[in-house]
Amino acid sequence: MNDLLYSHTYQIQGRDFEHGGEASSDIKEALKRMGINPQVIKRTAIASYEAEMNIIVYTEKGELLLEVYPKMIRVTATDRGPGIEDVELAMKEGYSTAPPEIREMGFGSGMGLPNIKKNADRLLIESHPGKGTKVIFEIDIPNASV
Amino acid sequence: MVSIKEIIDHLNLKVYATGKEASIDKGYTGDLLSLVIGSAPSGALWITVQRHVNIVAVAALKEIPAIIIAQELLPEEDVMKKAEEEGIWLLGSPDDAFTLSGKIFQLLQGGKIPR
Ligand SMILES: Nc1ncnc2c1ncn2[C@@H]1O[C@H](COP(=O)(O)OP(=O)(O)OP(=O)(O)O)[C@@H](O)[C@H]1O
Ligand SMILES: [Mg+2]
Repeated sequence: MNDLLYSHTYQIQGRDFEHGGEASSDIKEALKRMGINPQVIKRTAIASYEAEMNIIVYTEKGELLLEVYPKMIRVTATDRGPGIEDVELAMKEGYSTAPPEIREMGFGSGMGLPNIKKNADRLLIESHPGKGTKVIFEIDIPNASV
Repeated sequence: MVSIKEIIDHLNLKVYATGKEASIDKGYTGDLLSLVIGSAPSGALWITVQRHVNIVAVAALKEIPAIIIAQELLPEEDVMKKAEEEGIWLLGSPDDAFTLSGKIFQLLQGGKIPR
């Protein structure tokens, strides 16, 4: 039932906008190779991208762990960045602490975490200010077809 | 449905990167990447003033076949290269985003484009 079919860890370098989105793009390719439902892939890729960009924008480094089970996909984004003071507030659409130079590049609309929530079936954020953040989300695979 | 080649032709767009052949029936205009991710319909043509390399990642993620950068803002070499690699059209126009959106909206409605 809960057999792990596939797992992979993707390292993410903070501030590396040049390669921003590469981990989620690799996740997308891995899921495609596994023949996962395209809608599930799309939702996983979008949520992964937002988690990846938050690591790039707000932290020095972090990682995405992809786990594929017969009935669901789990992505765990972990960083040792500054953490989130008030997770509930951070989840609000439009809330952002992105500095001006980041906003100039088109980030900082405060829609990243809401986008994760919208695309995931389950979302859990654990954050300890000064220590880091863990964002875990799961996306169900319909009909248990992989 | 209008092909990207027709759009390039009608609007006299600059081509910074050649993408895959595609036809367009919808568009999206915006500069905030997470809003584009949340709201742009997949397969849409995207009009923006952003020209940073992350626009290509966003387009790939949303299956956006073509990006038009408004107001003659030039993308860097690496952005063009990345777009080419991803098979996404990277296009440019001197028009502002409002004017571009209006022209393309008309074209998609089957109307004529004021040049
Ligand atoms: N990994 C993280 N570490 C520290 N703070 C974070 C992290 N992820 C999110 N935050 C905080 O939560 C806020 C909201 O994040 P969210 O992704 O929703 O929006 P944003 O990144 O500000 O803008 P957008 O994602 O729309 O570009 C951020 O501005 C930041 O303060
Ligand atoms: Mg974000």
